[in-house]
Amino acid sequence: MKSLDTETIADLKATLEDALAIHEPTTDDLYELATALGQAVRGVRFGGAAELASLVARARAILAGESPLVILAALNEDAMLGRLESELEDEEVHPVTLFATLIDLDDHAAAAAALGHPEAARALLADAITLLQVHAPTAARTRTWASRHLEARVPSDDVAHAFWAAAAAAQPDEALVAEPVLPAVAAWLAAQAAPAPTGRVLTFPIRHPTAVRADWKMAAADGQPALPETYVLESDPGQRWQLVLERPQAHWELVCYADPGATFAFEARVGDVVLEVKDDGLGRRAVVLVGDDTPVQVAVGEVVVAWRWPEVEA
Amino acid sequence: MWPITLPNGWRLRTMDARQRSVHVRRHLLNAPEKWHEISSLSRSVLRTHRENLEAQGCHCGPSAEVHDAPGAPGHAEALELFVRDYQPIAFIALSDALEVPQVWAAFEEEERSFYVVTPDHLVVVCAGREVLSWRTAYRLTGDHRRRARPEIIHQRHLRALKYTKALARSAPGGPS
Repeated sequence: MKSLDTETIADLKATLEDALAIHEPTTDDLYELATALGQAVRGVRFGGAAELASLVARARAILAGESPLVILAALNEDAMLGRLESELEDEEVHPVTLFATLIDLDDHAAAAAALGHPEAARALLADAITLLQVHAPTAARTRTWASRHLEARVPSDDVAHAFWAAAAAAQPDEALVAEPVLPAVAAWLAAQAAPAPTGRVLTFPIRHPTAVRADWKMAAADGQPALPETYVLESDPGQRWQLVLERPQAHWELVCYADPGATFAFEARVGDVVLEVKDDGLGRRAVVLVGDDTPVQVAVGEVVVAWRWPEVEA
Repeated sequence: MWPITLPNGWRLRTMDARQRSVHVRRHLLNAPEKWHEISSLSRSVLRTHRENLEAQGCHCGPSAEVHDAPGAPGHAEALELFVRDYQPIAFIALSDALEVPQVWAAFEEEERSFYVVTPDHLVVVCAGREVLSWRTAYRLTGDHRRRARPEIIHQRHLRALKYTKALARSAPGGPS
């Protein structure tokens, strides 16, 4: 039989003691007490946490005179689901923040079960599972933590078991990253640039190469979500400018950055055409098409960087 | 000032220049994050900046993107806010947090990351492969709890942080 480790038991005990220590609790304090009770009860069911029994009894005595559904209403379910969805969609959100939200949902389910109303959490958990399946957690770390939490704390018959199983199993939807790739560009990048951060070769889908576009955006999807936002191709030893591939959202762009307010000349051209250079407050930039076989030249002061993309098919 | 040396020896530099405008607009000027509670700028001043930038096509809040309104003077305004407010707040939060192991965690997998949550609900995230960069700072909101006291939201997040450290501890590259 599985059992909780001593650190987990100590945490459950401390959380429950904190919640019990509040005099004249508000509804929200009672909600906190219910979540602490729920996790402790689950711990007792999981095994090895008999020392929590007296605290559980005290918590039950306090909550016995309260309306379970009023207490559970302390959580705004719509806002909770909205929060989960936005965090699942936002690659910027750190795994700890996302995991804290998953814990909030888990606490609610544990409280509902401890208050004798597990059905009160079922709809919320079902909606959360759907979100996890549609917007898989982007961080492998979140999935790993969910898997360990499931293994170490959640009984198989618990109302939240399927929820944590969904969080642990969630994978990116492969259909969203299926795009044709251009081996020639990938090979060029592999030859020109420093080793890719993940040790893999970058590949890019090219849809409609055109001779010159001042406002170019690469088609979406590279299939390598672990890559960083910025990938430096060339840079000035003096750090005054960089030529980078960057992925602000789902697409890639090739951009030249230079120091804001720099006094040296800055020019980018494709073939004979001088590209528009904009100073957007972050630096001077000229956006250049990736995949065009016309020579590209960037001049910064005395330094000239030129290259030619491999020939591509439209 | 920067770079900061973290307790585990990792070096931390400030935010990449091209990310500054978008993070100021996405977080400092995102009303639900209530930065006026910890900022030297009042709610009305922040709202005025937000309205000014929005009028120029520099979106604020969750929809803010790096490439909003290229060349708009609003980016310079956002960068001024970065220097005056956003960066100092994050820097002080980071500096203070280093003294208190309970409020930060360091993780190392495909890349390193350093995560801080402060008593005034500010989350500061840093990441990188060798030298870390400050990636973002955002304030936690308690909008999913109808009447939760701010300290409850903070305590819950601290518990989650502690728990994730425990979950990761046994894994290769776990938190330090």
